[in-house]
Amino acid sequence: MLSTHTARAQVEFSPIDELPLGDLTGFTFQNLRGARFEVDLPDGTRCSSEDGTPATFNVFGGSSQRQDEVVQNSIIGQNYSGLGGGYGFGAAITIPLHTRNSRNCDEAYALSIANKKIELATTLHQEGLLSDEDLSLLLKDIRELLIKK
Amino acid sequence: MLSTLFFAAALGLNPNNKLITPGLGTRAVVRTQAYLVNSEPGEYLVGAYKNAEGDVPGEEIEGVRVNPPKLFLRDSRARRVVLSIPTSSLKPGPLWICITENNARKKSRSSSGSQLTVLTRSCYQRILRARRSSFLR
Repeated sequence: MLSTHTARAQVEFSPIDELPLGDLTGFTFQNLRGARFEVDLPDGTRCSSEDGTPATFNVFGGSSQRQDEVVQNSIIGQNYSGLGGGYGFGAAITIPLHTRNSRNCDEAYALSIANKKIELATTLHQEGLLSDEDLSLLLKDIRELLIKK
Repeated sequence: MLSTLFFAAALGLNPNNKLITPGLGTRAVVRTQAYLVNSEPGEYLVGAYKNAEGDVPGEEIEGVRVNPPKLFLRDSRARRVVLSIPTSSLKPGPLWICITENNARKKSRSSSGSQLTVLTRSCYQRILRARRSSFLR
């Protein structure tokens, strides 16, 4: 059959989505979800914070049993050989940017713990199990927490 | 009118349980509520007193911590009061917890003229129990 095109070669392949890549295997060494933190607050609300996807290292490899159907009418000036099958290996490091959640629960958690500490310390102080000095030290620490920027 | 000069407040201590049991520490804690009884708003003092002869309040017990330190009562709203009483100098037996109108405030109010002023005090007897021997240090 003669071609009417001016192409140097006319090569036809089967559609690419039919390539048999089912035997391709990949390994991921890290959890794809970022760190998650949750705290129940005294006012009945809950604060939760989750970081973005962390950096990941993936390895993949496999073989393809591709059977290309090649209709080669004319190949001028180039050699073509092989059926497209073979082995493939690879590795990828993914480093997402700006995944750190700046609106986290750290402050809410610290205040919640401080509140509980004051409550417990007050009870112990009333019972005479905590001295004035010990209570004063604790309250100084909590004062620092309250006024820090 | 004489009745307007009276300031009375009460403590919501449980009349069915007059025992005070010391805990693990060196102090006995009494938690109660204070409220006005048909009186005008004002500042009140809460304290603990030793039992005197005749079963009446006697000498004030020193070192009692009262929270809140300044107790101002208004309306019919009760306010929580916590007394922390040192037990090291006390023997088991009766003691008194009293709520008294703040004398200093009253003096300043009556200094402008001759006026009959009456300080009211409501007292409640409680029995301090002996510390359990296992808690003694």
